[in-house]
Amino acid sequence: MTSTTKWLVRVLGCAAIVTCGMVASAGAQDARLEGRVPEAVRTEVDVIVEGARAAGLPTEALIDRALEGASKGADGTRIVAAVRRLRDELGMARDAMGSASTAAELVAGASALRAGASADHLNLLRSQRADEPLTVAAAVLADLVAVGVPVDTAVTAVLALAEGANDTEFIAFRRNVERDIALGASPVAALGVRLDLAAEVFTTDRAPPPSPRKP
Amino acid sequence: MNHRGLAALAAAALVHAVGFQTIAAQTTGTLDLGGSWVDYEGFLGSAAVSLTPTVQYDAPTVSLGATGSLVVFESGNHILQALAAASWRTPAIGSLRGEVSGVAGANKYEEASTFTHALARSRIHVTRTRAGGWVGAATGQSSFSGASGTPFQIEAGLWAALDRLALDLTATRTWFDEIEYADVVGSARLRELSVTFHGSIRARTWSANGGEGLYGEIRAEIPIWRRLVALVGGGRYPSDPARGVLAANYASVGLRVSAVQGRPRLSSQIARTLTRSSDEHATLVPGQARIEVRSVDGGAFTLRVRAPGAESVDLAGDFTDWNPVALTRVNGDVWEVQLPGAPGLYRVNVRLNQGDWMVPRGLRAAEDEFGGLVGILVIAER
Repeated sequence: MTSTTKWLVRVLGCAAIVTCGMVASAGAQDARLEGRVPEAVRTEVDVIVEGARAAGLPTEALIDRALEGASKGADGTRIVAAVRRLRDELGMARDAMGSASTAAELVAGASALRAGASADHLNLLRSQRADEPLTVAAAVLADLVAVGVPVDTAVTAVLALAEGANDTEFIAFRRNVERDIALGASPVAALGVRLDLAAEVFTTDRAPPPSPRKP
Repeated sequence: MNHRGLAALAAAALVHAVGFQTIAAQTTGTLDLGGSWVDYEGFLGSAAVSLTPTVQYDAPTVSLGATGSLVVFESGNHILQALAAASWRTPAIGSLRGEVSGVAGANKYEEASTFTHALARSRIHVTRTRAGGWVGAATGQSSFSGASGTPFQIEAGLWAALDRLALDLTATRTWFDEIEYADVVGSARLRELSVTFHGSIRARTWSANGGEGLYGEIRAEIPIWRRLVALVGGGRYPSDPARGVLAANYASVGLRVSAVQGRPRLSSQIARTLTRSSDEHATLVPGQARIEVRSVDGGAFTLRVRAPGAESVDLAGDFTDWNPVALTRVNGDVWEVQLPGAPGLYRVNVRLNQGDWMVPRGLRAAEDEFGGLVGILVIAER
């Protein structure tokens, strides 16, 4: 191959790479944003989304966040800031929960982080529930913190449940705690009572339903 | 006397409000000490002891009453209750008379539940010598710690008093939150050989989330010596979802000591419903909505929204690309929509009647970064 030919190949190769990149970039633009947000905002969101995709983070939630902001009439700055913040939280959640985490797990993890849980908490949860989906557990953790349970207490409770509870039981647990709180119990007391009841169920190997108690 | 007896006892504080007796002002104090066996729905039967002080002031146009109660179960758990009631009667215009009353109370079961309420009631009475009737309505505020609601109740009743027998029949319709029910209550009071018998039968004839059934209670007050009265009672009463009281069967015995010479508690128990009003609220608050996940089936789930009084319900969320989706009315206040989506965590808002977007009850509300709130919906595998 002559030097001229080599030069031509290099030029064509670079052109192909640039073209493919542009096509890929264009393809990365989410059509759902079209007409929903100003073009400048869309461009910024696209850059964030593309960066997240390149980093292996889920992007659907980012688009959803931009759409939510648009539907609520938020200005572009707020929308971009919200999308960027979510991307950062998803990244933290992925670092804490592992790269094998699903998109739903990372979204739930990000929600827990925002509620006050730490990356260490999520990491603990992952290690305790290595083979089970973390989505609901992380969501319940966030919910408990949101209803006033101190974050460390909520983490302890979720970790305790994580060994034996399935997703439906997690949901029921959260619902019962919220109900107890609504009925007047303090968040910590409600959590304690429900945790005791859950422990009874799990320690009996789920065989018999819990017996009625005396009032 | 079990803790249920408190309501009946407190009712006595207002009984005179509708008896319209022309009496001089009088203050009465009683102290009840009782033991009971109570079998709450969902719990094992348990013995309990109770201490119930009551004080009552009656004047021709005003009645005031206050009572408290401590009930201790054999587990060591206890219920504390307090109730205060007041009633004012207008001067009679012919056989008509107006009445305005209020009741406020609270109860607390260990650290598990606390309930407070304050209700106002108005009635118009038609009174004859030995019979009468009334119509009335009540509303107020009931609170479960941070959550509160506005109960509303309408009622109508008839009463008749014979020599030793008093009868009344009451029909009520109650709304509270997602709970509605209609009750018909017949009660009788008979005084025979200085023993007073109280009996009642309640039929919850219709209900939405409030349970249905037939209930009955009976109680006897047997004078022993001067100011000492023996109390024996038992029966079955319905759940009170608004107050967090479970349905129960009970039997009780006790002693009542009167600090002042007691006088016959006449009246036809019409006012029993006055205190019942404190127990049986129910609300339906237009403008509120509650959401729940009805089913998760493969790649779709069904959301149900209960929205009292709504003419339209829309939902927007992550799974609709934040485009409003109209829900379909299933029946009455219930609306549904089926949406595609996998288990996970979603953000969602709901609006009623094309109004503002809001977070329905049943979801955790979080700041949405756009100056408002958003609901966090968890869809779990089932």
